[in-house]
Amino acid sequence: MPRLTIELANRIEEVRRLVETTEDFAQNGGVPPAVVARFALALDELATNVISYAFNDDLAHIIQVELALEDGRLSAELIDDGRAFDPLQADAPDMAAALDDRPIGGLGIHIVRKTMDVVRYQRDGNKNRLTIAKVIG
Amino acid sequence: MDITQIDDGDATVLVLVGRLDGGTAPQLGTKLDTVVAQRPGVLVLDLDGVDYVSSAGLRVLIVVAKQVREPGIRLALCGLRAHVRELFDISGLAQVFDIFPDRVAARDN
Repeated sequence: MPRLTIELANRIEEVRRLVETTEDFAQNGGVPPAVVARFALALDELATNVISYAFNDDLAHIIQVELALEDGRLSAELIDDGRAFDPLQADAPDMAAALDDRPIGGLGIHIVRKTMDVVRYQRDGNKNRLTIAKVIG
Repeated sequence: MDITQIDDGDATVLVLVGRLDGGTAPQLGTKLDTVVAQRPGVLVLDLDGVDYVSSAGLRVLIVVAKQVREPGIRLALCGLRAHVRELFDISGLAQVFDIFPDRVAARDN
């Protein structure tokens, strides 16, 4: 039951470290490369979202990411102490829209929804908890 | 990310190598601003060396697709890896961009 906890500072440069650590964790657990790539990207999108939008002060915050590989499932939980924000409530972008009508936001969450089997948000006290999981086929 | 510019007649090719994510997207955006200002007839982005693209990277590509319209620059992408292509399909961008297998096809079509 491999598990790994990663702590990120709320700086965009930290996302690269999260992605690479996640790729190593999943590859070492024998997860197929295509699943590794999608999962790491989904985490990138969520962490980028949290770092960009969750904090409305200029203070340092820690985002905790708990990875788990068990029961044929690769999962991650992101926990932050930012403002209550459920990215899953954001409007889905219109994928058929012409270029000029396309909103710039929402694309990352759309990708997460399309590629993950489980995407869940919970507000827990003063924390946001985002969970994603992918069944390893 | 490494960006190499190749000027070939009225075509400009940018060969991208590395990851195109929130960390590197601003670098590409700055480079694209410069190249669009030079008004080549064709702008080719070769993504063969790009093994990772996030939505932050896709956004830079959407921005340049809008930027090239008014000066009438033809924008073409090529060399997309399978999982990068999948991302274009998921996000509906495969219909927005002209995508070719390689640089020559992208330049000449």
